[in-house]
Amino acid sequence: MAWNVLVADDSATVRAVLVKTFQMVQAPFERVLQAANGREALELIEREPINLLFTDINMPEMDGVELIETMAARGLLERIAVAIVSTEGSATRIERLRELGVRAYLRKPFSPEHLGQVLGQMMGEKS
Amino acid sequence: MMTDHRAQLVRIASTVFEEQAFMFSDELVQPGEAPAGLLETTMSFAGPRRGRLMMAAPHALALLAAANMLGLEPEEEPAREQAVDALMELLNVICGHLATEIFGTEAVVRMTVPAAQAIEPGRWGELAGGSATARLLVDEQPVLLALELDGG
Repeated sequence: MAWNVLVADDSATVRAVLVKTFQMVQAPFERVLQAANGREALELIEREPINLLFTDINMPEMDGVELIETMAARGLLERIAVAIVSTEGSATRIERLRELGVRAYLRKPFSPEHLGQVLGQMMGEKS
Repeated sequence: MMTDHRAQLVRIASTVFEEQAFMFSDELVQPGEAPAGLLETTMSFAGPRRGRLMMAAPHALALLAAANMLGLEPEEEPAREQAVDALMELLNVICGHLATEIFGTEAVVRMTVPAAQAIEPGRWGELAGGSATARLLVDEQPVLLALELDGG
């Protein structure tokens, strides 16, 4: 299976760190795409064969919650496994996102080992 | 009576600088004169209470943070390009953890995206002299953090 991953975060630094960490943990991705907010992410999701999405919550234009709610409403969470990568600490909000279909949650700051575990879990579930 | 969040700010910021940017902190007793190339990053939040978190630091610290986060040397172009972005991201993570500590895990807190601007030494002095300002020395660079909470 060819894995295409999308990273959505308004911080270019965080996107670069995630891409570098994917390389460190030898994630078998064919393509890694990037978006700076939820709207850009949604446009890419509708255009490209994305399998995995790593998204921040706190972003301009369209935040991560709106992005996931829109994906849920359009049935996109059936084909795309989503992980939240955020500083979010609200169990209430995380539970709501899990109910919508989010598979994993990674709190910033995260370690490469933790990201590797989350990746393994998500790719195992999708295979 | 106002709650003093300085100790929380120092502890959370020290952890975030260490875990996210591999930078080590000490508490700074005397901030001294304003360093060159000052930046102030700010963000607001709204949960059980509204508030604003500010962090001021020299550009040299932002550059070092970006380089460390990206695994580059500070002289390399991507580190220079992303220095301000890295400082804003550090504030974002500090703010998220601080909000969870103050309001608990059941509360939902909405945060704005961070903003950054260059500041003059006068603004640095104003922040440094604030009674609620947390002061750190991060990899030999001074950092000031101030929290404003409405209704407190």
